[in-house]
Order: sequence, then structure tokens, then C-alpha cells
Amino acid sequence: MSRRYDSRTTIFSPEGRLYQVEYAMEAIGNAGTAIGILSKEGVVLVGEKKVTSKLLQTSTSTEKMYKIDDHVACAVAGIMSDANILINMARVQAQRYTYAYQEPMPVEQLVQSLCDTKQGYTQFGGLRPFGVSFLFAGWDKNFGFQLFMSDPSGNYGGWKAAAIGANNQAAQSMLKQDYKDDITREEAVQLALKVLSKTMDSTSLTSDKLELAEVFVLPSGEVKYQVRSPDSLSKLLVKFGVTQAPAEAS
Amino acid sequence: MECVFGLVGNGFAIVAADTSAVHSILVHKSNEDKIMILDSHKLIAASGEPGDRVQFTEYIQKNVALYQFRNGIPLTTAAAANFTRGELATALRKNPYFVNILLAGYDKETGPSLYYIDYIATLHKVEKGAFGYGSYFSLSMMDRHFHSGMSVEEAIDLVDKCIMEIRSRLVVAPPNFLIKIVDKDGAREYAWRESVKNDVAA
Repeated sequence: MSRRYDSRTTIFSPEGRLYQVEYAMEAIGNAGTAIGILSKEGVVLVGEKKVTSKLLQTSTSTEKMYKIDDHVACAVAGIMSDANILINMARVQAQRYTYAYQEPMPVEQLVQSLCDTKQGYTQFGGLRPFGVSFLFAGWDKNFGFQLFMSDPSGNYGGWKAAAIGANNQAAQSMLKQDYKDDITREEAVQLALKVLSKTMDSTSLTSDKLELAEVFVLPSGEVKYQVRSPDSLSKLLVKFGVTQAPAEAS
Repeated sequence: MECVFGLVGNGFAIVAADTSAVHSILVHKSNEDKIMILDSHKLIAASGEPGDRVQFTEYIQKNVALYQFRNGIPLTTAAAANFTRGELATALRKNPYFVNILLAGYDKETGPSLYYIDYIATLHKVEKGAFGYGSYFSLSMMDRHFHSGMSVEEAIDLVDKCIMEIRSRLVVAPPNFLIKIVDKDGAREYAWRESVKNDVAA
């Protein structure tokens, strides 16, 4: 019955739904999970890698995490080629702002401008929506550390902890139970790894199946975005006891 | 013969501008306000082509207001100054604005600041600045008497000294001046310095 309202993004169904947008979100439901957690001292982003091969150059390229500007990074879930376009748009927007105001772009404004672009693809032009959800992690002088989640509809929200991609509902409810407002940076990393290990299909977690990145402030006051090296990540997995199968995890 | 000058003191910034609106040899009025209140804590003192002056400063004022409505936070003085310079720079090689600006502001985190922005989109953060023929006199007076962290009384005294020099030494000196101040409590009018009274308000 709803088939006749599928093909165009620019029309509502009689029930008031935009099917193309919903189908885009379906596509993301098959992608690798990404989790973001906000703490007092930073934001941690963790992602499940779908493409695991010894041949992949892990030191130079990342699959899930991308730096937008010196003070903002994002994790993606969905169609990677769509994500690349949007990441580039976000990077241009951030530089355009800095060009005009000689200041870093406030995180929410960056997210909002990207979401305004995404919204355009749900209303006019006849083009399909982007099949990507984002978790934006950043710092600005107005509101400190922030975490935002956005989806193909162009909606976004500020979160203390959020999950996108496969099993995101399960991850989100686990986060809801275990998150506390005064969580420290280290506890946030631990929680993120724990939740990811429980929602992932694989029986054991190794560093080549994950990516972990953090946005935090150095003692000098500079904002840093850092992706954990595979070795450092392995050590963390052992430390938090998540390298075994989920049944034995702490 | 427009005169605009300003300086930064201890926790405040002050700007003074003459108030004559002139067309060729005719003085239209001598109580024209050339110091626009950009937002709660910013002032723009502008001189130059009268039409451009009003058009450009209102354009900046409305864009600054729009930013605040859209984003819920005000622009910093530095961001507003850079935005203003950018607009002048973009228009420069097509349809330039002949307006010189002294942008004074107060930010909670960084205190008072003053920006010198000329009509060809030069931007300098300064402690004292001036435009026009009057600058020959006001800059020299400020070079002699200015020091960092002046009190309001000291600064007003220096402003009055500058006005005195301009009045006595500039051949077609403007009769009246307006002084505005911006500090933690906001941007507001401070005083007039009139030698020719105008009965009718602007």
C-alpha cells in the first residue's frame, strides 16, 4: 500500500511519513555501531569496524572517525560515500566561519548548518537523502564539551551519550542505565568499550575491529582530537577486561 | 573634515566623533550621531561618505543581531570586527564602501577592545586610533598623554584635550562632538561637547 509513496522524497505519504527518509535510516541500521559519550573532561567516540583486513592501512586512514576542524570530530554510521560528501561540507563550513570571524565555529552551529543541508534533500531537488548518521564531538568556549547526533532527516540533538548504527537501541538503553552525569574521561572510555562489546556480534573484541577517538583539552588549553593507536587500544581492552567473549565480560 | 577618535582604558573603551552633517559648503545639521550602538556591548564610530556610512553600519548592525537571534549567543568584539572587515574586503574590488570605522567593545572574558578598520578593509586591534584630518591632532595628543589602563576621568580629560586641539588648529573644525563609552555595564552615550547649540533633536 505504501509502495506508491516510496519513490519520491518530496512527497508525504497519507500517514504523514517520508518513506525515503525512513528507508535511509534503515540503511544505517545495517552499518557498524558508533557510540559517543560526554564526560566532564572530554568526549569519547567508539566505532565498530565492518571492514577488517590485515591489508588495511590502519595508521593513516580511519573508517569511522573523521576530524572536521581542530576542535570538532565526528563518527559516522551508514553509506561511506555519502558520509564523505557531508564530512567535506562540514569541513568547508567550519573554515568558512573561521575565515569570516577568525574564531572556531561553535559546535552546534556547525551541526545545524550540516543538518540544514541534509534537510534540503528531504524537501526539494528530487534527490535521495544521505544515508548517514553522525555523532559530532567537539569543544567550544561557549558550552565546553558537546556531543550531537544527527540523522538523514536533518534532525539533530545534543546528547550526554548516544549510539548510531546497528543495535543502537540496545546500546542506547545500556548507556541510559550506566551513564552518570559526573563521569570522568577514563570512565567514559570504559563505558563506551563495555557497551560496544555487548552490542557487537563478534564473539571477541580485538583492536582491529574497533576505532576509538577522544576530544579533550590539553593543559595548554588547546583542543586535541586523538585516535587511539591499535596497540594502545589493545592495552585498553585488556585493562577493562573486554577482550573475552561477552559472557565473560566484567 | 570629519573627526573620529577613540581609546581603551581600564575596563572600558571610549570613542568620540564630531556631529556635523556636511554637504559641500553647507552644514545640514550639527547634531548628527555617528556612533552607532551595534549591540549591548559594542559601538561603531564611523566616518566617511554619509550614505555609505549609514548603509554599511546598519547592515553590520542587523547581521550582528541576526547572529544573536540564530545562535543564542552574541558575537565577540573580535568576531564582529573581523566580520565587518570581511564585508568591506568583499565589496572593495567591486563596489567599495567609503567608510572608516572604529569598533569599540567589551567582552566579559577579554575586557575592552578597540579595532581600527579603514575603508580599504585594513584591520588593526589598537589601544588608540583616529580618522580624518582631526587625526593629525588627536593622535599626537594621545601619543603624548595616553598610557595603558587610564581611568574614565583621565580618558575624558584626554578626549577633551584632543577636541580642544581640533577646535583650535583645524581650519574647518566641527563645532560639536559626541562621546560614547562601553564597559561591563554596556554601551551608552557619555557626553556631548557643544560649542554651537542645536534646538531641534535629530
